[in-house]
Amino acid sequence: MQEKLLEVENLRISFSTGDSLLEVVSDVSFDIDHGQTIGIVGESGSGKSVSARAIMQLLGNNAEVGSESVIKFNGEDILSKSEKEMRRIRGNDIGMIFQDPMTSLNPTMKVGKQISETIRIHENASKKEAAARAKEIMRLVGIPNVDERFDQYPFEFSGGMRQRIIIAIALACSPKLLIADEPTTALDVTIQAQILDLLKDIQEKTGTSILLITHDFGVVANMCEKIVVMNQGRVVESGTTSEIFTSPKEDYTKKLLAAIPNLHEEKSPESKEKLIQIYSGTREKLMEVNKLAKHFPIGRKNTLKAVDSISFDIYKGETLGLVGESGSGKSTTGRTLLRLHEATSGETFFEGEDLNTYKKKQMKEMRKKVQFVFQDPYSSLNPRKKVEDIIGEALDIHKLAKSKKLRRERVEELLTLVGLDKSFSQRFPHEFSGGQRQRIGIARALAVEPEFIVLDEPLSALDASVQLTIVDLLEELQRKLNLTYLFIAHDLATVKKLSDRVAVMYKGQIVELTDSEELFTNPMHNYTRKLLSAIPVPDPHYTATDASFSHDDSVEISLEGQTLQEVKANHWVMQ
Amino acid sequence: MQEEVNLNSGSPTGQEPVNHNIVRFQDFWKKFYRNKSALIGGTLIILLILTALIGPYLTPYSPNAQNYDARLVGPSLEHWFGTDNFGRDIFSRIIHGMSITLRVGFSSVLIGMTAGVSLGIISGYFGGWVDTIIMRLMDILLAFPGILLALAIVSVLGGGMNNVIISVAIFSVPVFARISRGSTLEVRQLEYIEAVKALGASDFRIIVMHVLPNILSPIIVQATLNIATSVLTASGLSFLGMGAQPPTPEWGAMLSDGRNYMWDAPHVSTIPGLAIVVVVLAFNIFGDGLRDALDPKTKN
Repeated sequence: MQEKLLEVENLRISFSTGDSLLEVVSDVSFDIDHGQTIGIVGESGSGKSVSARAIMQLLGNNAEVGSESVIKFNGEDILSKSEKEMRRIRGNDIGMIFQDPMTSLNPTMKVGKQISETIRIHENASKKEAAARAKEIMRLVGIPNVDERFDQYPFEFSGGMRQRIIIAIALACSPKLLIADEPTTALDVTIQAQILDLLKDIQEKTGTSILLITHDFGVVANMCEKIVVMNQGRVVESGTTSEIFTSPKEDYTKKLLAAIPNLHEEKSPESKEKLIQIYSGTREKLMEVNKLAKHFPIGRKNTLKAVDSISFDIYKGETLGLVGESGSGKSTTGRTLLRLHEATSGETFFEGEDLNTYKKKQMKEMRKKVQFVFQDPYSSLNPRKKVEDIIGEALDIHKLAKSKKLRRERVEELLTLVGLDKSFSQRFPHEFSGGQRQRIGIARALAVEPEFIVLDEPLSALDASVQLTIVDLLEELQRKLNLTYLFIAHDLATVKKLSDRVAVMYKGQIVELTDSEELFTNPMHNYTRKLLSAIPVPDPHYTATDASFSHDDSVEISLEGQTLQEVKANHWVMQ
Repeated sequence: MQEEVNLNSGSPTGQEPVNHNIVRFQDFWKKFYRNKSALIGGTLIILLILTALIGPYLTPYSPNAQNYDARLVGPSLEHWFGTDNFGRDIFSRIIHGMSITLRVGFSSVLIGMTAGVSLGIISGYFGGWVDTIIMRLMDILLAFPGILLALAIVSVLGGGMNNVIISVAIFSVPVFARISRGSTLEVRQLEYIEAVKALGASDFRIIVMHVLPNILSPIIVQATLNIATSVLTASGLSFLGMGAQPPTPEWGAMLSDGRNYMWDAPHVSTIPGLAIVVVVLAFNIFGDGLRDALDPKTKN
């Protein structure tokens, strides 16, 4: 039997935090064969990244690896290597790809040099040879116009292109193992698809093994032969990909698999009823957006048309999904609707009155009716305030609580409403997990008893299983309080679940607008189809049916001279 | 490719990002207590303040009592720090001068800080032309060397301790304005500011309740360090004859008086000089310690 490429046995890692030791990884074992791709899947805090860093010996000074732990790479014991020997292995035998393509490249160095530098460190190559090799690798990772791109700086590259450069650096010395730590998490779904395709392609061409770390089952399904599921520093379950997907043994794995949103789920009868009312005109309009635009000045001459004259209606009690990639203008739309940004032009009618003409005082009154839930549950809560004051502030501003006692009661009532314990009111935000914080953010928005809430990517910072509970909460609140939502997201699957109708945004315009069922079964705009085809399918036996669709982002979709037209009953497409 | 491993204890998800704005009191105290120089500086400042408050009631002589039989006497049991050219007891004068020095230091920084922080927050929060006007004004003030600016202001306002305080205060305004503007810019773009805006909060409310508490740390550190600078500047002004008028036992003025007797009685000027050094040093090391404990940028 051929020797394994990597063997990890009984890995235990603790971190010293001040006076105490905190064990973050316990008794983790797995191995990788030559040319194999394995995935470590787990939610945040499961110890998956820390384990990967241990393989690279990049843990930092406050970490301690247990004495019984063994990490063997190519038969050699890595843990006993000196820092100098490790430096030779890093980059040379094991390459690593980090999560954030925006911060892992040196912004002051030409990308070509960053790649060739790695080659020169490890191999005794001349400048010329290294440059030639670097160009070859750049071609391998699919960068067009290599000769020109070689001498450009990282800021001249898009996020996806930067990730390609990072992969190129990791591949520079043809490593035997490539560790990819959430390589696509920071990327848009269409770019994620490209990068995954690329990794697969590279594996075929070079035969390197890949250790893929991710929280997304959809990503591993089609990439990996084996999967290791981790939770709280331990291996919950491991097995071949099809075993894990078809017959998971542990409850935790089952829970994770159940949290994967299902694109084929049917909408509830309730939602269908809503659509019938909307389309027949029997449901009241809450908001009417007419040619809304928001331009930002860039420098003295240029403007960025973040939102470029869009029109749509929102009906009472419905959830309108707003989907698009980063930079498509969806968040700006949400903020401009509530006048957190001032609109450049256009009208926003709320119950028949144009919000954009409101004076400060009228707007303050208006804020009782329209609210906002923010994307980042960490930065959207003031770290210095108790939960009671964070939620109670809304009551203070609008003088809704007559006494301190009533204020506290109302806050506790709101906490209960969002599924939190009353006693949480006396705690500070840092004591809560992401999901709990997002609930606090929702409670704050509900404090003024609004009719309309803009949900700006409220799920994107959360783990999949937590996302599911928040989606349930939002649906329940909508039913109970008759709320109307504008749900902004880049994740199509949750949009499908939560929204009655969906608008797809691209380059500041709405390119398609219809009910969510119709959008997912019959996408008409090229961009929508591209988005849909890029969703990773959490099914190991799935092979792309729409093979005609390449994930190449060099194909720009032009919107020049097009308008949104009703192509089919209640199905609007830009053409 | 070295990446920092970010590990936070206690958080149930482990994904809690390091919050750069909040320093819990226990953490602060722990760090501060470990920092020996800060502890020494702090103790020294407390002693200095106590001396300024109680000292004047305990001094052996009146600070202005002249004794022509004992002029320019060196340090002895009778006169611990010796006497000056009028036979006044330098020890008593130093003790009485302490409160003057500290008053100048504290009140000028307080005034300068209040004005500077207000301007800085307004500038950073509102931006646009308000920002441009305020910050260009601050640039103009900063373009003058500190002592020169203070001198110019005092010569316009006239001498006397109160005018010294005002001039030193004015000269510390731009420093505070810059720091608070920078921190405001950082805090302003955080989502929780936008969140309260979405709730309908007024700008005033946001500034007072959400911006100010979150930018206090660097301001407190700067204030402490600035007390040292202010004490030095104020003494400098008095030394040049623009500040305290005789016979006020102000250290800078005393130092200046002693210049003529440098050869015969060096203690007359060196002792006030040393007193200034002690105060400045105390505030400086205390400020450095505070910075280590409060300022997240040096947090490990």
